Amino acid sequence: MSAEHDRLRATLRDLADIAEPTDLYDRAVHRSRRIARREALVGTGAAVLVLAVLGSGLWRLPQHQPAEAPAAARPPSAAAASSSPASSPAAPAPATSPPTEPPREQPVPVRPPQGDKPAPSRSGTPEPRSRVLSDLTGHVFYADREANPDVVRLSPADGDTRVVLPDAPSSVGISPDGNRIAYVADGRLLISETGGQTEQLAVGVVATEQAPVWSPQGDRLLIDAEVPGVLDVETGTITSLPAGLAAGQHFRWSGDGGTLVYATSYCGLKLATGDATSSTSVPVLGATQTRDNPDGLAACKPTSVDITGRRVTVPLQTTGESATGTDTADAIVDTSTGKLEDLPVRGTVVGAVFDAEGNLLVRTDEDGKRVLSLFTPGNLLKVQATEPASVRDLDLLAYTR
Amino acid sequence: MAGSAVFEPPGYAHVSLDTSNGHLRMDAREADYAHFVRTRTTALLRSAYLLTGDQHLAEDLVQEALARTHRAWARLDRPENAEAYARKVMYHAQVSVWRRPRVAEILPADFQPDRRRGADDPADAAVERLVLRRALLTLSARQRAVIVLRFFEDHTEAEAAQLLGVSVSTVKTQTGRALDRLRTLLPDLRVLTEVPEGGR
Repeated sequence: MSAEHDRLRATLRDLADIAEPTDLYDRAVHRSRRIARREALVGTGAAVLVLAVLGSGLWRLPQHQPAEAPAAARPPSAAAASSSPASSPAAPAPATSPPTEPPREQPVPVRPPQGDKPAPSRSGTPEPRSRVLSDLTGHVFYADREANPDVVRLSPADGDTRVVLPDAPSSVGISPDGNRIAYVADGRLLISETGGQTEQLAVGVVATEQAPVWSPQGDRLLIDAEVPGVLDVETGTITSLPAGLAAGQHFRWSGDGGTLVYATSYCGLKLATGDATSSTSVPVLGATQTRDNPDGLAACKPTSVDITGRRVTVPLQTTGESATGTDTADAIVDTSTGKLEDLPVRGTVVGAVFDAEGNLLVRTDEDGKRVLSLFTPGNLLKVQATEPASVRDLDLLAYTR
Repeated sequence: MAGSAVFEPPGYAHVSLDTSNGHLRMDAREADYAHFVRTRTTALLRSAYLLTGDQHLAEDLVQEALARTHRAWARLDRPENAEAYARKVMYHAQVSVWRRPRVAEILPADFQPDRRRGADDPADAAVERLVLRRALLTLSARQRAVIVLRFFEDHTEAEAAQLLGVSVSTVKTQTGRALDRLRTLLPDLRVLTEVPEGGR
């Protein structure tokens, strides 16, 4: 071992001496219990929903299977309440124009669409229609964890994995068709075809608190210039969002284009519908009063929204935590109640994202094994397959058709 | 069990009231966990400080690692596995934050390496320590992790790769980039003037 390395080691040890000894036992146990409550919340919700679905007669259970079996297992259930499935997203209305879609409906109990009856498994875990990765249509996007990450596209149909944007200089927005990436470099809004060509659309754009976000039909981009606005990709015209939304961060479009979900500075969530001149708060998240938010949950960054705006993916955080942090969602929030939605998957959720059609891609880790699960808007588990090892070290970014 | 009750006062270890002998006794498993926390927290905090550059952030990181270890305690066969598990959680938590990891802020203007010589002087050693801290904070989370794993915890490249869940070649690459970066920032720091040897 060289003297130089010994010196580096000594310097690191010297630096580590600055750390002051602290008894963290109470804090660790308290945090552990909060994690346990969160897991219990998920498990209880799963059990209730399983029983509700079983009671509806939509699930034909083998006679030898006890109905209560799922309650003891880890989240084995049908998915939580869903939005009404839409065959295709409505034409996205500009945020400044009245939407053609009606306001969000109240949540309704989950009912798998007719003809989409998945076969229940012995364990109560939904049986996927396919366990073959190539049946996962579309593209899955990932990013590595460097300061300027490479954006990687996985095409499950052929197993192709390729870097589509090396050294991304900012947060990025992936178009709904998976063919274009929007990002910001030195204030310039750029669109890069995943084939290679790059086009500049605007200047004076920042992406710190607002990644460029594509509209569901891929014709507009929600960006943050002096104020948040919507840029028409064809004409280059930017229409500012109403003044009441100027303080919002991390806007995301619902699949029908009729709702914007965004984060507040105190890590709560809000929804703007209609002409976007007013908005409603999502309960619980970000609330500072213990009675309103007993677990101190917060969401500083919505990452994707379902068709109607009833469900949103977020990296779950706690109040008082830094507003920055991961861009990879690990929880789904019901925007009408603020409660966490159940995910009927095994292991730890390490990524979750809706595509523009309302399909939900969930990435899980169980004892080091990474699995991708694709749920339709009607919560049918369409595909569940092992993720290729080539993307293991990357974070889930987006799922597109 | 008839004749016993179990309660969990907030912030305290799991305690069982065994009325058969009239004594309160701490659940043995919880006692083992408490012993683990109180004997290993300082060591974990030292590594966490190098990863975050800040006492409070280091405590947050270790708290999360210890909480996850608490959740997994029943599955850990031996106490020595607990520290490895906690460290793995800690490193994963720190490098999994995409783009803007939680570390102490360091501004370019703060970065002014002291040009004085005589590193054996205690005052110079203190300066060198602070400059190294600042330099570490300019690295990416993963680069900082490999430096700490390789040169503070003395792990082999293979061990570091296993802890971080990446390939050995990734560890080699990240180590090389980290040292290149540090050499750029710390031209006077003698320790970084030579290319490191290969993996053990």
